Amino acid sequence: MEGSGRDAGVVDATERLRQIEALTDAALAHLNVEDLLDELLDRLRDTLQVDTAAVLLLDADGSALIATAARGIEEEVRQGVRIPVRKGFAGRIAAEARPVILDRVDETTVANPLLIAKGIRAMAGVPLIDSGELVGVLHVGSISDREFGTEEVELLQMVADRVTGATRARLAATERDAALALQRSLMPSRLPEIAGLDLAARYIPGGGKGIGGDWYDVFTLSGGRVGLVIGDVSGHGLKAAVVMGRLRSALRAYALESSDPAEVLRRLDAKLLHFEPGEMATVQFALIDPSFNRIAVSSAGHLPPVVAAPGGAGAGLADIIADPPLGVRPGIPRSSTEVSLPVGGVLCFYTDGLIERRGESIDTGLDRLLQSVRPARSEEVAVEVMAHLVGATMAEDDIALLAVHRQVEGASDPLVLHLPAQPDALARLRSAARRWLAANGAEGEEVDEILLAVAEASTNVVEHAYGPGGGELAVLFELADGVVTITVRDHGHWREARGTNRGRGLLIMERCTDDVRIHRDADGTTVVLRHAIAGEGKP
Amino acid sequence: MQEGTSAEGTVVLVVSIAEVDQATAGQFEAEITAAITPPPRRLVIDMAAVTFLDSSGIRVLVHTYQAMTDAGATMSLRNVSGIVRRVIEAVGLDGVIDIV
Repeated sequence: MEGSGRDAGVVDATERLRQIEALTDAALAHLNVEDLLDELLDRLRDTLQVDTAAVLLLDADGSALIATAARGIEEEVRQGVRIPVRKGFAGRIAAEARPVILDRVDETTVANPLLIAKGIRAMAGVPLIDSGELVGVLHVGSISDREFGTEEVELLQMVADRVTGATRARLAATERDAALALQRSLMPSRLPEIAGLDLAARYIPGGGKGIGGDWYDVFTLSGGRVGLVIGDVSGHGLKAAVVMGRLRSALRAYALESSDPAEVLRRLDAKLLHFEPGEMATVQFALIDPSFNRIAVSSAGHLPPVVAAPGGAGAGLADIIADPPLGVRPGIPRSSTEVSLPVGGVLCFYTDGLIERRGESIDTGLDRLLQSVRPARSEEVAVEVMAHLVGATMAEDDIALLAVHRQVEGASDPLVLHLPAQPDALARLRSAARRWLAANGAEGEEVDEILLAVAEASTNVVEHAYGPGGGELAVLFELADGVVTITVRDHGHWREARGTNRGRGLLIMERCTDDVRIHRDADGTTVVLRHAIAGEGKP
Repeated sequence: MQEGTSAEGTVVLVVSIAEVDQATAGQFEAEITAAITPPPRRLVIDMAAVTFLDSSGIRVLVHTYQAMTDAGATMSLRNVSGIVRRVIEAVGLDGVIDIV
């Protein structure tokens, strides 16, 4: 090769390519991206007999090149060298998207002072192009004077293609793993236990289009209310999963502050537009009141939930107002629609991945969904829906499903509650007790008295049975022969009622029930309350 | 919470908490404290929004009643629902705290 200080021509081009090709074979498949690039650059240095070789990858917003792998001048990577696109040597290759050769290295031709400090005299570099798009730059340098020729640049370009191909698959796999890990960590690992409601959910990461930004969420709120969320962030991959995570947390926070689903979504929309401009999402937020009789739903461009009531009428789509998705434009007014879920009924929330199939109308998928949902236990519903709509096919897109079944309460079935011994559990206890008492025919003052007595027994557990670490409050409601028996149990150490207020608690229990028994042993304390009800047997 | 002070020094406090229990008694107390600072001649607590009240709430009402009485002022409850009336009766305060 003319002008070269080295006898590079000894190794012919075919042999060089063969050596590079050897790097991408199965033997290297176990290497991570960084190790693979280091290996490739080492081999490239040997083959071209150069002193430095480096790969710079374009950052997420495409404005700068970040040193990702370097041999010869490893400091480039360790110091996080960052070259703005269009600046210096690498920046010029990126901006022009074509090979560049330098026979003079100084402040006028390079932006990275490390190259000058190390005494690099000549350089050659090529762009890394993936599917027509620039993803980075590969360049080599020599500390002796040297003129890189066309043949060497061609070889460099071939290596660049290998680098692109080899890293693409691995980076995609890494991103997919990260997105999946994020998705998994954000899905509730266990749905909350809510007396009277049984819940089941599914999340299937998309295969074809990649992991998306689907999510579901269930949380309890003050006063025994329950929040249900289903949503779908547009796009795929890690970015969509990250946006999903942010929306999920923000929605939870707004749900603490407002009891109107439309207001919660209005705030979420404003947050998305301000902090993540350009992102879009469909979301549905349902708020169930403590009696379970009223469910307020606000929908931001999301498919309506399926409702199936007992009585054989079949499942239908809930008649709700669908407002535009989040992230469209500021100031969109949002509405809430009330949906009712009769006792024994099922409400099913889902994302479009469940009903959309390639080459099929969305109505076909919706019909299939309506035929699969029936008023049954939520787990049975989830199993059936997944079997009919997914079966053995690999999900193209993300699929999220959340089924809620309103259990048939009462009919003399005992009510068993295990709650954390914390003050905010008392409201949940009261809502469950109200529903059970109503289902068992208790009414008016009977209900008031039982609620008051149970509240006092439970408050004592919360206040006194456990230390700051908390514990469990177990409450059992039973009905036999027209008498409701309530057993409140803890495993801590009941303290004697002290002060007039705790004395009042005992007084309330005694005055509001027919019989109060307090039993203490080494395991804890049991309070048994009895109250006759007149309406026994009424539905 | 809304408050109004008339020329005669009457404060009407409309309680905003639906269920007064151990978790919310602190808020209930805070609403009352705000209403009686500075101390009025007469305090009327409107309980229309209160659908549940246990001994934690009774304690707040008793402390307020004592503070008002000590200052030579009066306190009464209005729009008391069935369950709140029942708990006040159960602890024997129905003859003490004025319910209108």
